[in-house]
Amino acid sequence: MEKDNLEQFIQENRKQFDVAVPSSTVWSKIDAALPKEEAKVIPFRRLVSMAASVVVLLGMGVLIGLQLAPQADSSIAELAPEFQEIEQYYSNKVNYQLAQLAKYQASNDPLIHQDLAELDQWLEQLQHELLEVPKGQKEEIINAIINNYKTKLNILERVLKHAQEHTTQETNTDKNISI
Amino acid sequence: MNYADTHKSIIEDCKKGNRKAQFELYSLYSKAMYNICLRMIKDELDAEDILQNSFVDVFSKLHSFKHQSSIGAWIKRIVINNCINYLKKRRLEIAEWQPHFAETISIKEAEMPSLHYNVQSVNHAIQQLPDGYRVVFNLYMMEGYDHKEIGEILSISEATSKSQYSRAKKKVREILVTQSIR
Repeated sequence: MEKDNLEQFIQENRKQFDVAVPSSTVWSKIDAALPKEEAKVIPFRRLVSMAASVVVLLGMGVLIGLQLAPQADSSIAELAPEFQEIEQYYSNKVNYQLAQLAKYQASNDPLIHQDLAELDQWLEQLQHELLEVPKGQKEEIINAIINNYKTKLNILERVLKHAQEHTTQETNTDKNISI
Repeated sequence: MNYADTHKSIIEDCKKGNRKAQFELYSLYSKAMYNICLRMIKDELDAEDILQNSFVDVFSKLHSFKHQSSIGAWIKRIVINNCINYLKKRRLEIAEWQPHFAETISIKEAEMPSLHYNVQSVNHAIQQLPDGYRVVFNLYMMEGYDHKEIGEILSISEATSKSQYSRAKKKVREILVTQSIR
């Protein structure tokens, strides 16, 4: 059957028909209705694999570093000046998000801090390695550092969004009571 | 990692009861699903209730989701079933013709093409359809099910779905004409 002009109009503008947004209370009701999240088990396998890759990377770094010692530079600024800018940008962003999050109760969640601390440790390791490895491998490590920042930002953004939504809900409840 | 894989990992985390992942899945689909509810139910509060219950259903049934369809289609089907159950409780009658509009004007399809559509007025016209027409119209035109699938969803025959749809469409046009004359 051929489409008539009404069908064609709807099909072409389909996205514009989805304009309504549910209120933020819907999620908090779902959250309340779902079984409580179990305490997070320490992902032992992940820790082991993280530790293993650190050892491998360090080992490789040391080995290659020893061989190419004379050529290896030790200053990041000389090697990749733009990298410093990038790192500055991301670390500013992370700090800003952390400051934002500090305003909310949800920021007290120990699980979040545990995850962030894990990432920080990993970051420190990477930054250390960046100074040690020869030129050819720096890009890989820089990418890993940027990914580390991105993951951190991702976590912070999600937590922050969640916290903000909870706060709007709380203020709404307050209003209701005062009326 | 491609986009589908990202969804896959969110889904697997949801199955483990990870609340962050559940919120992520909710964020991805809540708006589209809410608009489905709203078109089917019309009342905002009831639409939100159905959205809420549907996502609780989604998370409790998720272990039975084996990636045989897209997660979006799977969630959508749960939402639609809940909408229809709600309407059935309120005596949704598919077969019955409900002459709600005494002042509608019968116009031949050939006389219609000059009508200028806009999203708002079309939406408004759909909202004015009687329940049975609106449900079939929404499932076919807005959600993209074919008449065979609609027949299964509503437990009616494919032919009934087709005839209901063409009547619903005619009705939408009539409402649009009436609106534009006013």
